[in-house]
Amino acid sequence: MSRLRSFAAAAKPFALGMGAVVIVWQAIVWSKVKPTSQIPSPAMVADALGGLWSDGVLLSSVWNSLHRGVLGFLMSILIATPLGLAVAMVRGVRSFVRPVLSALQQLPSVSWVPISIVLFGTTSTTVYAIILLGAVPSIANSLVSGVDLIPPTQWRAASMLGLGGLRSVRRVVLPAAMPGYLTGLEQGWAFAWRSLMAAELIASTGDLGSGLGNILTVGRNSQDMSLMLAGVALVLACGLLVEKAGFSPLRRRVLSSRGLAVV
Amino acid sequence: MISLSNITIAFGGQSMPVLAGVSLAVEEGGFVSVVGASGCGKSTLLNVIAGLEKPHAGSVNVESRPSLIFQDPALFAWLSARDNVVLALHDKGLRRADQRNEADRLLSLMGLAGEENKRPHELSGGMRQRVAMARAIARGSRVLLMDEPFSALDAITRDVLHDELVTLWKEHGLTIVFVTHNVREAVTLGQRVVLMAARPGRVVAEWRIDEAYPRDPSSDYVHVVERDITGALKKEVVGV
Repeated sequence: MSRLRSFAAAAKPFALGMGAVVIVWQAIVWSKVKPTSQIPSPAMVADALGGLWSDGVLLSSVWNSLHRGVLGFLMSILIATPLGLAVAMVRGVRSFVRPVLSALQQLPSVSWVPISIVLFGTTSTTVYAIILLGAVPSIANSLVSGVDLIPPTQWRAASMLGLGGLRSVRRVVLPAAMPGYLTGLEQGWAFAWRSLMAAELIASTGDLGSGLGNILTVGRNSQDMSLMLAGVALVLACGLLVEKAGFSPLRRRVLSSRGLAVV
Repeated sequence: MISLSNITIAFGGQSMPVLAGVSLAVEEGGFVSVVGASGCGKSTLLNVIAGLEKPHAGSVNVESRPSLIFQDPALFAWLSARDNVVLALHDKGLRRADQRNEADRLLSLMGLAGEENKRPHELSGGMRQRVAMARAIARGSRVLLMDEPFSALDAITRDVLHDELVTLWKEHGLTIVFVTHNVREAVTLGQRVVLMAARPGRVVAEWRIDEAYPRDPSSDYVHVVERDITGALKKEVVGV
């Protein structure tokens, strides 16, 4: 019961914010600044969502995109975690890999789409390559920062306890760096999700023509603004779902277990 | 026992060594307090004994692997008090249940029975320092190196921990080197008090404290020795 109450308390500000957006949106529609073919009403977008549902497109598109995004994100974690630890803890590796990671992090991952399509065609490999190039540098860099922020006394304590090698990484380094690492994972997910949408938008044929990005492409090709906004709403909803159902509870758990403030 | 002979160490191209020709011997089961002005190399001395810093000259002999206890207890925030101690038992060849039992026994010894499941942020400063001591004992080390462990605590908690430390020292036959800024604390705890001077760090004087334990920090004896040592310390700091 208390869990339900706390969920309701957390959801209330979000519902109020979304309600305000819908009211402003509807007011703009009523003001007739643009025809409804360019700025459709919330009800028209809801109709478009209903149409996607009844056509059986909605769930399959959400599943395809989420499945690709989560799989690509998990692959990014598997690559970025050992890479970040090596960069953080091995001086020789840090000196030449860190600048490359920082440079890659600055590069919008959408710029990899044409190259990936030429190399791999409009296949899932293209999507995963773009997700990895977007998410890995972000996760690895945040892990490096998290390790750099471990207080010297903790390193000395680990050393005095005779913890070394992989045991030290598992029992001390990763848990101590966890707050920074978690931030990196959240950023990494955001990069992965955006990269996926970029890839699905640009390469909306072949294997890739069945995700949320494809809904936007179909809407653009048919000049159907309601369908495009329905696609945007779904992209937003999926991003929020992962944030609220995945990262938020994890962050709350990690921070509160250490007595750190939870916002 | 601990034996340091003519230890010299300098950092990062500094011309003045942090420690210059420091010699110190602590017999097995001995309790030595080290006092001195800031920057005189007290913490470096402990790091050298612990093997965390390599001296450029001189020799170090320590009978067993020492455990260091800092002002910051350096507990792992994501682990309970029990698991902090269990981590120190990782290479003892004990089964998980035996590790937990041993950790609980040591925490109980430190007056923390019933607090085993609490995380460090749920414990007071004195309790955290007790967990750090339990963790150090769990390593099985006979040598404790303590770097101003009680300086962040209030006076009453500090007095209580002084008594507990003396009991622990006697019951376990530990060898302790205790670094502190607080001369009264040094006299209350140590069998000997060593005074270090700065630039370069060196041992300049030593007092043998013959008063029986437990010592009353407000006793005339402690007060007289404290005044004597403080006078010598002032001479080293301001040269008068």
